Amino acid sequence: MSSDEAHLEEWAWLARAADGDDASFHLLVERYQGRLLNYFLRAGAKEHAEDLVQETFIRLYRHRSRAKPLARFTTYAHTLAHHVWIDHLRKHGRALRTQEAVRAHTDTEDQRSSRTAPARLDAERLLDALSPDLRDTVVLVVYQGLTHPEAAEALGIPEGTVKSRIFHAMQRMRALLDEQPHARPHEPHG
Amino acid sequence: MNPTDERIPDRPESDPRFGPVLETLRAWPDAPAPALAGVIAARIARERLRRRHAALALAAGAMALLGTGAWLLLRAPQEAEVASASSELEAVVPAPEPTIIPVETAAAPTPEAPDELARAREWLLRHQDDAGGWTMGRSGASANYTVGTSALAMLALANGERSAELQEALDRAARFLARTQQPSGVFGPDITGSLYNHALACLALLRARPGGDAECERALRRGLDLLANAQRPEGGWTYLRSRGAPNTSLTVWALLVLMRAEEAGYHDYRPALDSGLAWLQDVIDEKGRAGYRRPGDHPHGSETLTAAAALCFLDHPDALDPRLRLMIENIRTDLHAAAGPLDLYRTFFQTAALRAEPEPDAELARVATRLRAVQDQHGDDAGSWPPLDRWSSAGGRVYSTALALLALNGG
Repeated sequence: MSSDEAHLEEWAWLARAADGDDASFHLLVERYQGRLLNYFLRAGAKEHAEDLVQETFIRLYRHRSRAKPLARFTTYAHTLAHHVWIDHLRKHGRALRTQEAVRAHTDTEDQRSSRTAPARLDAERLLDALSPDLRDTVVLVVYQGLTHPEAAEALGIPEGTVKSRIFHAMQRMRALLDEQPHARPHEPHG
Repeated sequence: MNPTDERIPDRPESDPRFGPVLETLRAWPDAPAPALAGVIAARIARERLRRRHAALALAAGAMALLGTGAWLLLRAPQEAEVASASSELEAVVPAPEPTIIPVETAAAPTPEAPDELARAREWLLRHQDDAGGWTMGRSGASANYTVGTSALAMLALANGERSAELQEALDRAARFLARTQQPSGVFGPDITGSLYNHALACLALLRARPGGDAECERALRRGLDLLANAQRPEGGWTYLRSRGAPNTSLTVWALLVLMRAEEAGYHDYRPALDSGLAWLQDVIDEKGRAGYRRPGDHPHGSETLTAAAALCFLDHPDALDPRLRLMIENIRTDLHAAAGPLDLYRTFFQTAALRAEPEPDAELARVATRLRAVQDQHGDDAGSWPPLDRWSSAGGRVYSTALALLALNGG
């Protein structure tokens, strides 16, 4: 099945769900639960990721009669997921910022106090260095495979802004990678 | 070169300069797919239940507004423009002696009592007129609102399991409502508060939907058209006779009808629905309180309008977040603080909103206990609720019984 056929099929499932066919909605859940979980995890949701996946499907269910197949279904699904994520950030923003501050402080202390603890610089650390806007854009394009126009639609921003966000995010993450040797002078080798 | 001076490539994520970044990012493996289908199916089942209750309770609360409108007409028929229906009533109508349920009694949740609900439904069925409607003669309420009261009784009954007898009663009631339609398309008499009658009748017809009854379908379509055409240029609704500014009280009503109409397959009213929701958004302040005509416009409190407006956004949470969360919290706080006399009118909006929450709310159990404590247990009116709040004296026992049924999820 081609990608286009898959998306037509998904819209058809949603239409059937709107007519009361729960089994069709179940198919959508089965197909998208993994993708959406990874979206939220990489966007930074961590322990709330599964809850947010659920919330996204609940919103999809609420909108099932009104959704119009004007784009690929995956774009629509990610639009809802993005809204869920933004709502979560608004609701828990203060707590999240506190957690990040604690984590940053702890990491710095670890690096100062231990010559053996390797500073973990991986994908998550790179993404953590980005603002929520930049991170969300990177996740949608790099991980979720949305095109720039699709990401623009999901995020509600111009396509050019998607491009510039990706560019600036890449710059920032590259700078972090470039700084890494200096940030980990005592990491044991071999 | 300053990084910010670099030219932005068309696809920055594929630019070779960022190869190591991309490589690092892609080293993050996919997490395995969770098994959420069962959990989500259960949540959807609860969602369906909540939506049904929310719609019905909205109707109930609006009926209380209807009762308010009746009082206002009786007391001040010269007023063509009624401000906040509930709040103005407080100003002009002396409230009856309140029925106070001790908080201690209300605090402990009680199990469902289906027999009590069944008795209430039976009481309503017994008091249906031969013509199909419910008159309120015994309670002295205004005949101007027989249409609205009958529609409310229909909504309360339609939520129960439909026996053949019940369906026949609903069909008769629907035909009664259809016969009350004026040449203009409005259900019920041409009075200042006719929009309350009209909206309730539309809701009841949408809910009952007697199969294949062309007369009722035509009446409903005309009624929906009238409602959509009555929308003010600003996006909200006001009294049918008025050309004044929209108000939240009537806009909530119109939106509820149009939302249920769309769910029922009437898709022509989407533009009216969208502009109405947009208007409603604009009267909600940043603290999650709905104003009567504008944010902060609370001539006599904001509790009822806040709960009513929140109900309109339950199906459209994206439109209002994060204010919707604040509204829900306000409703919970307001309901918790309402430890004095029962106010069915306000409580129905509030309980409907809380029912939309994912987890059961302790306030709902308190309300249920308080309501059951005042249900009549003996005599001819056993199973019904007396007109015990300040508004139900206008709507009578049919009104209070229907509201109580809806509030208890068992109507």
